[in-house]
Formats: sequence, C-alpha cells, structure tokens
Amino acid sequence: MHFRKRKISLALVIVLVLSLVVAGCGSAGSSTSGTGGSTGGEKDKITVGIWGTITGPDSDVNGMSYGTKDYFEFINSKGGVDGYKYNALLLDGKYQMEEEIKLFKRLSTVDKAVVINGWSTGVTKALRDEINNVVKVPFVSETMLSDVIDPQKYPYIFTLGLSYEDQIKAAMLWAKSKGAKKVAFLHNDAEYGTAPTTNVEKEKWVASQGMELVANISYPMKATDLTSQLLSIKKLNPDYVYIQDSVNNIIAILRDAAKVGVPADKFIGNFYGVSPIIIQNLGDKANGFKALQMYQSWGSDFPAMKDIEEFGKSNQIQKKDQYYLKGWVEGMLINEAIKQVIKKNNGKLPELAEFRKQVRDALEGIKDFNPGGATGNITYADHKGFSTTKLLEIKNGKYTEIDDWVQVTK
Amino acid sequence: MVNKKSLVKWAVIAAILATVPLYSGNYILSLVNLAAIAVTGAVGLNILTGYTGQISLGHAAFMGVGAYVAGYLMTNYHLPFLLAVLIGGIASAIAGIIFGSPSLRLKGLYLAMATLASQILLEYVFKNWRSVTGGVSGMYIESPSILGFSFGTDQRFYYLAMGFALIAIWTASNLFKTKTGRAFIAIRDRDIAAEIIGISSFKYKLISFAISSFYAGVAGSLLALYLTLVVPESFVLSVSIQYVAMVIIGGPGTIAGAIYGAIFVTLLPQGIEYITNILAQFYPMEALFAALRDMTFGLLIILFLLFEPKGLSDIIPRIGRWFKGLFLKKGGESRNLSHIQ
Repeated sequence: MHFRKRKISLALVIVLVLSLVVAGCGSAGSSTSGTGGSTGGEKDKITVGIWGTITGPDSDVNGMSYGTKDYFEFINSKGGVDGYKYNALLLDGKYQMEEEIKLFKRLSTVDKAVVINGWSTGVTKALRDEINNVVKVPFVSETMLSDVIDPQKYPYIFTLGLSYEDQIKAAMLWAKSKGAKKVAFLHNDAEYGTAPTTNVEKEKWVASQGMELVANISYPMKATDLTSQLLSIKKLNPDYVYIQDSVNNIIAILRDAAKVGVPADKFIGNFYGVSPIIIQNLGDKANGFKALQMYQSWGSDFPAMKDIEEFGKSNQIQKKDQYYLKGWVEGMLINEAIKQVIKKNNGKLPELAEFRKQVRDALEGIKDFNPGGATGNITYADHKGFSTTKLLEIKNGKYTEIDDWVQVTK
Repeated sequence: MVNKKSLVKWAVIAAILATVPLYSGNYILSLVNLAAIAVTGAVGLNILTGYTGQISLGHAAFMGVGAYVAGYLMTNYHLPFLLAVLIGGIASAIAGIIFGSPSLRLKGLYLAMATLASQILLEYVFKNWRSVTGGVSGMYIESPSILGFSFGTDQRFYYLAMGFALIAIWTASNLFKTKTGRAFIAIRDRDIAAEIIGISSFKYKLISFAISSFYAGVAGSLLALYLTLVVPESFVLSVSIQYVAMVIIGGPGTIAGAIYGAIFVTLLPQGIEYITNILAQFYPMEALFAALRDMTFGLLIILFLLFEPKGLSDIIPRIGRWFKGLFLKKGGESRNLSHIQ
C-alpha cells in the first residue's frame, strides 16, 4: 500500500517537474517570436499561423493550407511587406479536434500569430467564443458552413467563397436555367453532408425557384454500397441530383448509379468534387458529371497563376489544384489587410492585440479586391468574399468549363 | 511523524499545483487541461481494465453519454454545472451497467467485441437522436461558472480540470483499500477462485463497469465544458483506443500508470512534432515526418506490450532507482575504502 502511495506521489512530482520544464520552454519560446517592438536595425517578423490536415482523412484538399503558406514565402522572396518578412508556420491538425485546439492555443499564445488560418468546421465552432471574445484574433477558416459566418455575432471569423448552402443554390440556379423541374439532394450523414442540405430544405428555397425537391436522401459516411439510395433516385427520376460530399463517396455514387442505370450527367457535386481521381477510377462512367469551381482552372492564363509558376521555379508546389488556389487567395487577402494596417501606422507594427484588431477591421474593409484573376473580385464585408462560381463537366475524361459564372444572390 | 511528513509533502505539491497557472502560458495550460481530463478518464478505465481485468473499447462512448447528459441539462434546464457533471457521471454509470452486463458471460476478446458494439451503438445514438443531441452538428454549451465566476479561460479551467483529476486519483487509490476494490483485483487474478471465496463475480464486474463509466462520464462532461461544444466526433472509436493505449503504456493496474499514460498519450503528438521539426530542417520532407507520427504511436504500443508490459509506472521508478543506485554506489565504495584503511 505504502509503495503505491509513493508511486502516486512520484507521478505527481514528475508531472510538476515536466510542467515546469515545459512552461519554461514555452515562455522562453514566446519571448523570441511574435511581433513586439522593433529590435535593433532588423525589422520584426510578422507571424501568421496556418494549420490544415497535412495527414488525415481530408488531406486530399490540403492544398488550401500549402497555398497560403507558399503565398507568404512568395512575398518574403519579394522582400516582404513594407520590409517586414513573414514567419508563416504550417502545422498539421490531423482533422482531430483536440489536436486542432492545441494548435490554436499554441499559435495564438506561444507564437503570437497576428492572423490564424485554421481548418475544420468542428473546431471553428468549438473555438468561436475564444476567437471572438477572448483572444480576438482574425481567424480565416476553411469551413464553408454558414453556421459560423456572421459578421455581427462572430466578427473575427472569416471564410472564403460560397457557403455550402450557396453552392447548392448556385447549382440549382444553373439547373433551373437548363429547364429543370425536379431536383434531389444526396448527402452523407456527417455534419458536412447533413447540415447544408437540411438548411436549404427548411428554407424551402428550391420551391421558391419554381422547382420541386423530390428527395433529400442521406447515406452513411463510410457506406460501400449505395444501390438502394440510387434505386430510389431512379424511381423519382429528378432532372438533377446534387451531391453534398467529397471525392471518395462521389466515386461510389457514380459507380452504383451506372449499375442501376442513372446517367452521370444528372449529378452535380460541390467545390470538393473536382479531382482527377474520379476520372481515373470511373473512366467513361464519369462523363457528364458536373462540379462547382470557384477559382480559375489550374494552369490557365491569369496573373496569380504566373506568380505561382514563378514561385514554383525555385520551390516545390505540393498540390496543383483549385484548393491550392483558394489558399493562395487567402494569403493574398491576409497580406492585403496587413499591408493596409502597416500603412495606417506609418510603417510601424502596432502591439499585438491592436494589430489583430486592425487586421480584422482591414479584412472586413476589403472592397473590390482583385485576387490576381484567380476568382472574381472580393468584397469581404460579408466574411465570405464572393458569391460566383463556375460549373465544370467531365467530357471525354477531362474537366471542361461549361457556361459562364453563376451568381448567387446574397 | 510519518503523517506529518506526508502532510508537508502533499502541501508542497498542492502549493505548486495551485500556482501553475501563474507562470504558464495558455498553450501550456491547454495541454495541462487536456491531460488532466485524460487522467480522469484513464484512471476510470484503469479501474475496469487494469484492476478488474475487463477490457472495454467503449470508453469514449461512455464519456459521450456523460457529456451529452451534462450538456443537455445545462442548456435546457440551466442546472449548475457541477450538478450537471455529477448527473452526467451517473448517467454514464447506468449506461456502463447496461452495456457491461454481457461481461457475465463474455471474456477477453468477446467482451472487447461486446463493448465495441456499445461504442458503435452509442455513436449512432449521438448522431441520430437529433432532438436531444443536436445530431452531427452537436450542441453548444456555455462556459461553466459558479456564482458569476466563469471558468471560461485556460487559467481558470485549470483549477477545475486539476481539481477533478486529483479527486479522481484520490478516490481511485482509496477504492483499493475497500472490500469492493479488493474484490476487483481478486476477479482479475482468477475469477473462479474469487467465486469460490464468496465474491459474486457478476455483481462486482458490474460495479466495476459502473465506477469506470462514472469516471468516463465526468471526464466527458469536463471535455464538453472545456470545448463548450458536444459533438459526436469527440467520442469516436479512435478515442476509445487512445484510452486503452494510455492504460497499456502507463501500466495496467496502477494509479500512477494511468496518470503517466494519460499525460504521455496527450503530449506525444507535441513531442513527436518537436522532434520532426528539428529533423525537417535537415531533411525537408514535412509530409513524410507527419506520417511518421502515427507510425510512432502504433509502434510504441507494440513495443510496450512486448517489452514493458508493466508500462511507464514500472520504468520511471526503475530509472529513479538507477539514479539512486549511482549515488549509493559511490557512497558504498568510500565506506569500503575507509574500512580498509
């Protein structure tokens, strides 16, 4: 008995020592980073914190994080912003909520980041109070769920591009323009799938556009066989079916749709439905499948692409897709806001809390900003930036643009 | 004399623990808070797995039951959070009794399967009983507060998390001085022999499930209060496996083991990241090193099972003794020399 007691107290002592050591490291680290007052002749670095799913279930779209990181490196290679270089930290959130929370705390307190570029819907929701009321740090999230987009309620949270709900609406508007009368939604049972489709259904938006929503079908996130759901679709025979899901399940849906005889050209995917993997897996069966594209096609001719190509000459570009472009544009917006703040303060950096507040205000004030032609002009007052998207269709094994930009009414 | 000495020791420990938030930043405190919550949960699982010998792959789901019940009571009935946490714990204990009942007939791998089923079943309930759980979107809860004093910051939450962890450690270590605690150990060591000496194996297994789940429920409620959000993804199977790993790595059947294991598993990603960041300066292959992290985690569990089945709770005192031995050896030699002279 006595031995166990000793063991417990020994455990506690070790915990104490460890926490002291770690605390020591933490405070030592914090004194060397951040954006505090000027030290000698060299200008301070501006810390920007980024995390994404470098490894984990949705790492196929992590170009969004690499793109932002690379943009700051690109600016650094050009001499920085007003002579200030960026310290852009890219970390792995692993799509695990606890890990992402640790990273937020680390970036906001130890690294003293001026802006944080975070990842998942779950963590954005969990940190909403801390971001807006405690730390007060501009937080550009990769989520597109409208729950957290509210400039009044959550003044420090920014997203970029159409919310999932807006994406559904954009696709439906396009369908309407093609004379569609009946449409259906197909989605996974995770929040990502359920919440946006349910929101649009509750709003009765489809009916307001003179179309009928014949079904809103859910399936398990990790389903391997979707034939029963697709048989229901076949029976209801809608003109178009919107899929609120990402690459892996889209493949399963199109595969089973071909099995039961529903053609791929009835299906429209969201922003996460553009991937060469779909074509590789399905071959001809993918022909006709459509997905949304909010950014210009990778490799086409526009100024931001030229910058990326220039950057790519001396650096390795991890992901060459529209998700990378999204990250790159996020970097441009953050840089633009910081540039404005430095100008406002006559070339000096304000102290951290003030810096963060001014960057937030500057982000919100961005108006008609041209992101190097990567997408339409951005006005950030609504914290979403823009509301236009294109549709791509797989034709002969290649994503091809169809029609022009679709605008969702704000 | 001994009492006085130990009193002083505990007073010093308490004083140091009480002052941790004064010299630690938010990041460190968030790590400590998450570790303290994990300690509460791991001590609970250790009662079931380490002391009673019943494996459970549903620990995260039981945490979820506590979190959802506490969250529901706080948001809909505005119950004080301490009461809500307590009721959350009790609800988990009841769930533990229900899902632990197959332990009468099942052992080892089969019991693991049965508890795995409870994990999957409860996860399904969390996701689909939308009117109560909020479905996959989960439910928001307010930061805990007592009489207007809010625990919404890391500094303040530290006292809450650490307080609960200390109570969990203290109650668990005293549990094994009681008849019930000893009955658990008897069942673990040989259940038939325990039955022969008059211990109702079924009754005590269920009690063990109930107590363990109570701890899980409290830990889950604390996690929900810390995140101010209850979502199904906080209580998935991989979290259950992490808790089993805490018990294995820490050392099953020791309270100290649960503490070491919980801290080790919580801080492991940060430790590995620290090392990979250093390595990445020499070999810039971020993605590769990131993948290395998960491999290290798996590898550690295998290595512990193979070479150190008693876990950290055996290794750390051994290192302590080794250091002690170094000094004693020197002292011993000098004594010998003096003898020769």
